[in-house]
Amino acid sequence: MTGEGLFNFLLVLYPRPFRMRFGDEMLRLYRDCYPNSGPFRLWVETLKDIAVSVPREWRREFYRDDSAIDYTGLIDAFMCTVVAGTLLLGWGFMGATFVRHFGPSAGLSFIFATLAIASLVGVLSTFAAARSGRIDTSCSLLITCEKTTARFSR
Amino acid sequence: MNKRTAPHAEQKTPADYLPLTPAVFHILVALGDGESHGYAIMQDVLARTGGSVRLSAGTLYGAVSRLLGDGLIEESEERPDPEMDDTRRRYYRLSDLGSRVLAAETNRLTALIRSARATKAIRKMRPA
Repeated sequence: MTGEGLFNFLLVLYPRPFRMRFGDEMLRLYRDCYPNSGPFRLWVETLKDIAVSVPREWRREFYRDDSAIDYTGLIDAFMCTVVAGTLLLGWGFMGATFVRHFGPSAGLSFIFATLAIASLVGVLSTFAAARSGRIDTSCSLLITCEKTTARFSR
Repeated sequence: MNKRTAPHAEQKTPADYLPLTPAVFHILVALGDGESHGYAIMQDVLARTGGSVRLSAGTLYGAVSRLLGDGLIEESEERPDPEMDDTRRRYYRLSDLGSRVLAAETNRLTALIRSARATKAIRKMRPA
């Protein structure tokens, strides 16, 4: 990942309305500053600035009258953590049980490690897609779970 | 020409915005000579302060966001040199209220410096 890509990624830390309004300009400013400052100095200043300005912008966003904090996203993050944690624990438990019964085997270890990594990548991709807006919030994990439950209980 | 002014901006007087934070004061001073974009504001502040104040992206645009919200600056769609410039840049300029707030803060700081200069400690250090 290039420095510009990393800076673009770090912009995700700012509240969405602030990012939507000033994200492009901040990226443009980073590009303009890059040739004149050394990369080390620029990054030290950038990280210091992010450490101060991110909490400040979140506090402003929280206290704003027309605050647009995406609580669905936060719930998604929580749900993804729960789902990822459960999957990893589940695969780990199954792997341990198989190893106890059949003895240690490189093939089994490989299969369970692959399944665990695939689960983690799947959950993280879903979370990233939801946060970047590629998945509509109406398809968020929690709402999808509710819809699925409702369909089965009908 | 695009003007964005906060609806409640007219209800406040310039004194209500004082004292300004250093970042906000420097940005208003940078815009005092005409409209400018983010990088030019940053460079202007750097030059005026002899390199001692460097506004990074988060601080600069956080202050710009507050200033736009308070109606002290406005966004302008006019570009000084459209052919030479990046169309993605946004230009900002002082609003009438912003000019009055800048003048009020400058007067406040001038009075403060006059008062500081009148103290014995500073008078003692003056060259003969």
